[in-house]
Amino acid sequence: MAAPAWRVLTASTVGAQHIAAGATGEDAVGVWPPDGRGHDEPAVAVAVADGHGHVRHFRSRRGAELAVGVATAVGAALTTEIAALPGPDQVEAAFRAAAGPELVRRWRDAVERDLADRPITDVERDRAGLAPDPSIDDLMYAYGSTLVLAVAVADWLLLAQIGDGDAFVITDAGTALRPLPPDPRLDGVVTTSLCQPDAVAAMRYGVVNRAGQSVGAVLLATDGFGNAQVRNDWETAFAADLAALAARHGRSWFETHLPRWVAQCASNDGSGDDATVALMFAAETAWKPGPAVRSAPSVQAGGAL
Amino acid sequence: MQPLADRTAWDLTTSAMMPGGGIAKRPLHFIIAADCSWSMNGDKMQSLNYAIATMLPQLAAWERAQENAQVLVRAVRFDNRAAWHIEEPTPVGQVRWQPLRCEERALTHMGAALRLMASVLTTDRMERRALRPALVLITDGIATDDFDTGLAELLATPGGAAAIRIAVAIGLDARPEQLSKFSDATVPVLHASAAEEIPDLLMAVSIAVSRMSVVGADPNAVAEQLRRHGIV
Repeated sequence: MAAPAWRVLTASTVGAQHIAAGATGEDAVGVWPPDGRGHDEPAVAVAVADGHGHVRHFRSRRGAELAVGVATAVGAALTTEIAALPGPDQVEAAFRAAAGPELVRRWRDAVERDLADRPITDVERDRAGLAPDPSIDDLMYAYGSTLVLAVAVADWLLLAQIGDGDAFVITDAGTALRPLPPDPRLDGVVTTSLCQPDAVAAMRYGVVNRAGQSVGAVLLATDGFGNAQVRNDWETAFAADLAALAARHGRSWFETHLPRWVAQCASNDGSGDDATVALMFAAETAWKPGPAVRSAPSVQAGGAL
Repeated sequence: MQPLADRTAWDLTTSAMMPGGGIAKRPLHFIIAADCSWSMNGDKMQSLNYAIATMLPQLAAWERAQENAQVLVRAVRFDNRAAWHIEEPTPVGQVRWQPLRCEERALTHMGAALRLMASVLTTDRMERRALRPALVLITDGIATDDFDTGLAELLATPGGAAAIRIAVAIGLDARPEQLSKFSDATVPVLHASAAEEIPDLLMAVSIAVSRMSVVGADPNAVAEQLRRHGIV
């Protein structure tokens, strides 16, 4: 059997609402190795992040950029460390330590460095309603962002997430699996965040051993993608459809289509929010799809219950 | 590339269709709960029907202009009981408002209306991607049933708790302290001292509803909109 390898495709589009408001996007996406997109790699670390839109999070775009930078660096180091570990318990413990306390600490350090390089201005402080001498927690709040991280090496697929967005596995048969536990605090309105004081406790983890579980692809997405989907169970339909498309067209076909789909989701026909997707294909997958679910048009007029 | 003759209809549409079952604007559920007790009979009910019938096209026009959300309308009437006046979530542009009528000697079962709203704001009835709902409660009196239990049921649902909730009090008999329990903490009870003021208040409500489509919108933003328009 060939050694496991991964091909990563990414796409990101600024939301139509942000464009209409003259604002910039607040999503970010990162891949390690830095030139690892579009061809097979034996180990990858992939992250997407969504900076919060509220005026109090006035540097959230930068917060999201720092998040994916730190996350992929942590993930890259893990790919080496994990290969030397003897079993699943050790792998999970190493992942939780790195993607939890270490990642959050490094993100906060990165924010502090960014603040030192570029102190907040009076205009930023006034707009956010901050006191003249804001605390470091107030300043962390300005950089608030979600984060979804995937690290893949050898037989291991490791997922971590804080805040909203999506991360799920697509099996070779086109079934969707969600290795990450749900977070009851995510009610579609508020989100957990790297900027909160107990961010480590809010991080969720999932570990998949590919020796015992089929993994054909992994989707990571910010909430602007999922919020555009009509179906409540869109992951199920997406997984079935993707397996059918991959079996028919191969992975390269997605390189031209993924950016279009993401752009549709970010448009006024979809969520209108920034949308970012990282799609990771397990290179050796022999797709065995069931029936595709793609009976609905790509854009529906209504959002019926 | 396959010859065209060998390609299925599914093949021919793959370039235009994405996996997952389709996309759409995010739904914004707007539920109007209107008092149809006997005390509303006459000018108040006439003005309320006029106000709603005027407000809905304004919301529809806003929906067409902004394109960020699809407003889906339901309506509850309450008197001796609560019942759906518009049960299915209906795109605002398709609503043809049928006038509400008062039942003779009917009471004000407002708690039942809150429970009916709660029944459609549960996790299994709301889309995961739905924006915060907007709920409007319009009355000229005080509840004659168990208001607090109805409110507790509403606030126990994810949609009810997250919703922007606006109360409109008509006349001098409506009890603001009861309605303020329903209203968002940041949004004061709107008060129409006379029937002719109802249309202006509901227009302000439509402005507040429109704010709920903005990603990250919160009740403070709605209150700010109402202040900006001189309503509170």
